[in-house]
Amino acid sequence: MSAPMLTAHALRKHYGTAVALGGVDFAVTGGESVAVTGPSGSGKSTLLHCLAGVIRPDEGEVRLFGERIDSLSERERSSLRRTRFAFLFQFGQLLPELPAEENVALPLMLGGTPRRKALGPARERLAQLGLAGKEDRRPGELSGGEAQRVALARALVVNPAVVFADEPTGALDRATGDQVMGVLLQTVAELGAALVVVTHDPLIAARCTRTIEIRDGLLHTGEMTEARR
Amino acid sequence: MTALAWRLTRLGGRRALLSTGLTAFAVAATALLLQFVVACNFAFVERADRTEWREPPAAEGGSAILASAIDYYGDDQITRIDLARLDDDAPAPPGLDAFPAPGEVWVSPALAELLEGVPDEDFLARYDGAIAGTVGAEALAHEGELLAVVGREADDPAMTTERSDGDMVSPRTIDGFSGGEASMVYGVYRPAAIVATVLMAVPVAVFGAAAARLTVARRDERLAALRLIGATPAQVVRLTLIETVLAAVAGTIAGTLLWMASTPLFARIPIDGGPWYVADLWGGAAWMPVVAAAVPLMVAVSAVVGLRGVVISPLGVARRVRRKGLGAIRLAVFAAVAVAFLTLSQLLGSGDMIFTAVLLVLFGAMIAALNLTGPWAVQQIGKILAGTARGPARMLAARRLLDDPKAAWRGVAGVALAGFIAGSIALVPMGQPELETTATETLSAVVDSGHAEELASRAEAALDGLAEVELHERTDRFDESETVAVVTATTPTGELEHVRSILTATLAGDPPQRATDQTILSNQIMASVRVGAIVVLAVVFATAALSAGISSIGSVLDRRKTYRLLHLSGTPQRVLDAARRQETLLPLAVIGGASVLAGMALNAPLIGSQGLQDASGALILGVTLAIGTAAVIGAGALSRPLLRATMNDVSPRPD
Repeated sequence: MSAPMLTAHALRKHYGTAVALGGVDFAVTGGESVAVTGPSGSGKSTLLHCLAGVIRPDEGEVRLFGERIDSLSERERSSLRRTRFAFLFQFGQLLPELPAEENVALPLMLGGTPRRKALGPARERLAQLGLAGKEDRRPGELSGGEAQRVALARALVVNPAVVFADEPTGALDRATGDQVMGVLLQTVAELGAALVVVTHDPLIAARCTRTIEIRDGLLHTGEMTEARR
Repeated sequence: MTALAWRLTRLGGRRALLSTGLTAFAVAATALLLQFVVACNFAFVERADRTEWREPPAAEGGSAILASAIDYYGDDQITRIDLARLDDDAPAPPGLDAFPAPGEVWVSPALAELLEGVPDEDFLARYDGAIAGTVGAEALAHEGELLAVVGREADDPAMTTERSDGDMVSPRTIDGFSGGEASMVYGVYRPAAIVATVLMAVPVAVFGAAAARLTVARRDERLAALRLIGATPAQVVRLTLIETVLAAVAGTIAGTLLWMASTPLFARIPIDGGPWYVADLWGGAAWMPVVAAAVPLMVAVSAVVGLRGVVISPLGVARRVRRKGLGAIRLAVFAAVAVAFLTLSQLLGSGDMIFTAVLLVLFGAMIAALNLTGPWAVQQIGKILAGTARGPARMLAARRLLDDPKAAWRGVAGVALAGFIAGSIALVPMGQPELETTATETLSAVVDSGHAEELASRAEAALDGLAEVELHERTDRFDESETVAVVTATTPTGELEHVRSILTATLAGDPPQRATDQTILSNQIMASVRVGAIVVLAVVFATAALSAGISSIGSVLDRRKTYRLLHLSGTPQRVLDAARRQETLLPLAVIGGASVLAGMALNAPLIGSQGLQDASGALILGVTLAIGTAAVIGAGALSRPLLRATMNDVSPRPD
């Protein structure tokens, strides 16, 4: 097994007096997909935000390819999130005023690629995900599944090392959700990237290579099988 | 229903309260400014009314004689009222305790102040009397007015000599001081005030109406949700109306109270040479409730219009379907109004009241039509930018302009409307010629042709070598077919007022003037026009800055979710700031510039372009440009902390 891409050690995070993370260890390697499950308010999203460098943990450390990222400045973490990570949310991450292709091209453009050049790979990604011919549509003119595939295209267009997904199929019906999840797992595997999925859905968790469960800010690795039920 | 609306507002969280508060704040500013705009018209009426006693109607067999004259002292103009009693029934004039006895000079407080330390021979000698008292406020247009009431004998030459200057009243018998005509300068100021009213009221009203959309925009999603769970359109409209109107009423009350409290401050604005009596600004107090009722009504109507989309198709708003493009018909409406305005302004001469009123209405309509055309222009700019954008900030800005041109327009509308008005005002001539100082001054006075020789030699004797006296014949200033006799006296500048006093006392009729004295009144009117222009520009730019600030905060609130997710995926705030700057400054540069030019082009045939030839026009345009740009940039900076807070809000359940 190759060395882990992203590791975290003894992560702690408090919101006021509430403990969101009470000392969590975590590791994921390339090609692997990890489902993070647990009841609402258990600290799943906080773990995701700490791993992705959105927020800083109060204690503990996060490393990407062995380099600490939790101690980087906001600017450096922003740049990291833009170039090495990718995000997929339940809904809403697409800019409603941008056509699909520009939504996908946006991360490349933020990295300095001129629009004309960025649109090429964006259209390619869209075509790969079965959205050829819909490049000009705005998010409001796409179905829920289509919009989520556009979001996926945007996540993958930068060839990220790690993809973070927070209830990526939560707003979709079962069949569409399954389809989107399939595409997500397949393309992430093809890229050799790691996938971290926060989900309530045991069926989604079951499709990942590994599942961890968080309760009250602590890891419950022993109950994996129960989560797989 | 009201209880539910109030609950929704209260429980909507900090953000909902913030947007409702913004609406209330914007409405308060609207109410304050509209109260001011309406009140200033009544204030002019109040002033004019207090000048009526100076020109009462002639009455045969009256109890007193009245005449008036315009005196000068240095660079000031003094209104003089000469009064002589004919019998004991003569009533005391307003502002005086009793009818002035011969030899009594009553002066306004401002004149008393001016004359402090002035030797009698330089001024008071002209009236051959002593100061007996102070003229009360009820007889003065304003507290800065220079006025003297002089009591004389009925056979005093000043009470028998005709005045040749039409602005003065020749001796007439009167039996009271009521029913007279107001000072003619208010015939100039009052229409000017109405023009200023239109200039200010339209942008202020546009701003107030836009404020309603703030609350409505924020409610879009939630109202659509209410529709989806089965609320009827009527219920949704009512809920939003109640919420918006609650905010509007609170804002209106606050704005009106603020206006009442700040009248002493507004009273300091100097017009016609002096500040206002605070009571003048309350002259239209009866209209205050009308304005206070009209503002929430206007806000409510605007809210209903803004709600149409939600009510007709809740799904559409909830799911954000592509919006329909704005038609070029908007441009056509502006063009039609502009053509009507241009045509009418060429058709007839000024002076006709109805014509002027129609022209004013059309001018107001033009400003309103500009507000209609703005979103269309924003969309066109968006199209061009979207086609040419290379970087992410420009692309985001262009798409935003294309997607919601109306919202983008709201951010710059105030400044664009202000630019249009500034462009119009810059044309108005406001320059003031410098009064030259020379080694000698020549005073001239029109005298009765029949006694010209005699008066000239009497003047020469009275002056006793102080000045060189000559007698001329000139064409009458007011009737070119007539000639008049004019006595001139040339004297070293240092002796001017001394000589003037002797001449005034000797010649009795029109007080002697320098050629430059005639420009004092026109300069004073120009100065008032300048102050008026500054007030109008201050109001429209204050409105512009407020609307830019509020819409900037509103746009962050509207898109907080998008901003948060963009931040999560690593978008630097710098890019979002740049995009937000571009989506306001680019349309501002194009539309603002076009508005200034349109304002100038449309008004040039009517006003001329004299204002551009002196410094004032260029100054107005320069300052307009600077303030407008600063307002929009400042508005963006104002909302930056909110944007930062919004972006960094990663609490588990934002909102």
